[in-house]
Amino acid sequence: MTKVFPLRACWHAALLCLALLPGLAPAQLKIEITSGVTDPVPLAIVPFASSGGADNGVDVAQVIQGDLEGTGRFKAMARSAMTATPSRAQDVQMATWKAAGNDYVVVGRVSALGGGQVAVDFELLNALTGQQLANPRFTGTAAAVRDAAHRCSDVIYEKILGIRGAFATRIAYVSVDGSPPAQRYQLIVADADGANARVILESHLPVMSPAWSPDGQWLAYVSFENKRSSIYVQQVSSGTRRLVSGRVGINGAPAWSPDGRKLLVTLGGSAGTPNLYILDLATQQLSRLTDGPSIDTEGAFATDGQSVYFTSDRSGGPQIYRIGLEPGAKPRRVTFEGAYNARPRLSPDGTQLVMVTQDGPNYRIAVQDLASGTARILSHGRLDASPSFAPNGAMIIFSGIEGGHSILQRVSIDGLTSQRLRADSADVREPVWAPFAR
Amino acid sequence: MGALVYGYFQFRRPPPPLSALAIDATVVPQATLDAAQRSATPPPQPAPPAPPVTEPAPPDSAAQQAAAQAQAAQAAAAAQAEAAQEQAAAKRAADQLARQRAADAAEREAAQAKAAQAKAKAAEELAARKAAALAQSQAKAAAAAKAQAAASQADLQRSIDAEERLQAARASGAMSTWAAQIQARIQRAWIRPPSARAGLDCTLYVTQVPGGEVVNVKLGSCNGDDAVKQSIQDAAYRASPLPAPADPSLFERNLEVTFRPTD
Repeated sequence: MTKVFPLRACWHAALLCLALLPGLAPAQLKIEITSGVTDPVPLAIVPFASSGGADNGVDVAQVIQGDLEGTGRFKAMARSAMTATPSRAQDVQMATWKAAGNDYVVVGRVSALGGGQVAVDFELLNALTGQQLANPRFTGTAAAVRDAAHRCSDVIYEKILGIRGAFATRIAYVSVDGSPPAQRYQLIVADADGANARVILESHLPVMSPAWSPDGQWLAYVSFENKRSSIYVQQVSSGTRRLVSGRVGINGAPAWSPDGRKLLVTLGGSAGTPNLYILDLATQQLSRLTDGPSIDTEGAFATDGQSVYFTSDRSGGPQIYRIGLEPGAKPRRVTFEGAYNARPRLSPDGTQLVMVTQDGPNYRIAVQDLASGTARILSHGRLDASPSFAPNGAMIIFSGIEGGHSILQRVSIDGLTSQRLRADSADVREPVWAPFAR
Repeated sequence: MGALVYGYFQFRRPPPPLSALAIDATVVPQATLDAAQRSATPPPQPAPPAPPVTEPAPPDSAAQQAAAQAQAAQAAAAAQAEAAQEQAAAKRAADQLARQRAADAAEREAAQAKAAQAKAKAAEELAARKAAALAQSQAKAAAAAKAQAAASQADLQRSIDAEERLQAARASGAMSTWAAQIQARIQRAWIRPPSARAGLDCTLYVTQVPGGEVVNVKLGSCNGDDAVKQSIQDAAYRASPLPAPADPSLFERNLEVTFRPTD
């Protein structure tokens, strides 16, 4: 909508206005902007210069482009359309890049510092205003060039969108290949874009439900390596691990408390009805959170650590409930739309819940606003599962079925952009996005 | 209402009377100043009188003297013809000298008088020229001022006419249409960062030139984060060139653009 206010309306005050605002020309025409677009921001990421192979074979600009375009919020200029490849701000002919339709230009270089160290420098330039918005330097070993590229992406993303980037973070997931009885289960940790995958656990028996500790140093998971379910916590960097729950019956669905001292777990016991318990990792003390004949599982702590969201069939089909940690607290139902809502995970800011919801004959990823209770379906698959928020809340990673295989996918929180991550012939599933490194 | 309109133009553009003065300050001033200087400095004085010339004895007294001498010579020694002849010769010589001197003096006097007359005439002419020049420049200034006043009057009239057309156009919705076109263009150009939510209220002062090119953008009050501030400035530049109004007289350089997303 537009409002036009002729200056006539304030003639009597015009001289006063001028006197008060000597620096401001009187605005004659007033225009109100009430909406915008979510078009991708056009930018040029010029190939980085590299002296003497300092980049270790990593195309830094390409990594950045992949990161940014993967969010759906950026559109990079094709390299073939570039008429110059400056690597420093002072060499950038801004008018040329602006004329080519770019709002921003990224130039940079990788240089050897000696002692096996390299530096990645870049400049982020606003082609519209001519301003330089950032010029950071990241240093590290030659093997860390790719990580430095992700850090460049983080800076660009935050400067332009105002949200902390999550490109230099990691994910964990389970990979399964082979067929019974010769199956191979692997617990894998990789960069957020799926690169640099490395196996941290391998087993011929099922591995499932990985969960990152709040400090991003540990993974809790369920392994059947002893022919029954057990919960372990493993330090990712060292491989050190310990068994924390190998009780009779089900030991499943571990989730960390925000302070990292407790695990929320699902224990079945001999009675066979799974319920939620809180396990103190230091004391091994176990306290029961839910009881009753219904199945209560897939718990997740609220962001403030004061309550727990979980899946329960106490009303018939699976729905999500919330229960406070205080003694005698009663579960309250959170989801009411649809016959199936399960596997809750909280957004980093605690305002949203991501879950698996039944959508006709399909199972899809949905996000529910906790304040309003309204839910939106973000995915379009047939059997989507295991959603997990990026630590900046901007994307969700989940698994889906494609060509008979389970693959990893990411979708932006607005649902407008999704992409599949590289998958091998193996089934990859149960992705979980690591928190920001502390 | 007329006073308001006039006041509006006083506010909008340099007021006509002042404008006329301003033009005086650039065009007329040299002449005016010169004339003023000329009239302030004392006019050149007439040439001082010629210094007194040492005159020989007036011709009358010289003649009398010569006559007396002749009478005395006649009475004393008429016989001495030679002497008398000599004396007569002397007298003739003296007469001639006296006449010559008298003639010279008269000539000089006449020359002096002529010179004085010429000087006086020159002074008079100069004064006349100056007076004429002064009068001319004053007349010119007066004419310029008159023309200026007339032009200002015409300007004012034109401005009033333009304003009336503007008002008519506004009333007819042309201005609203143009504003809506600009609004649509900026909205399409505003890539909203996720933090630009309902409740955002930012003002951007945009300056455009005819043709619609955005030449300056200045952020006013804004409750958004850095990314939002940047995005709205970018939007103005991305929207450049802005659409032109259907009626060129509607064109406004200065736009006040508020960003208040409703969703």
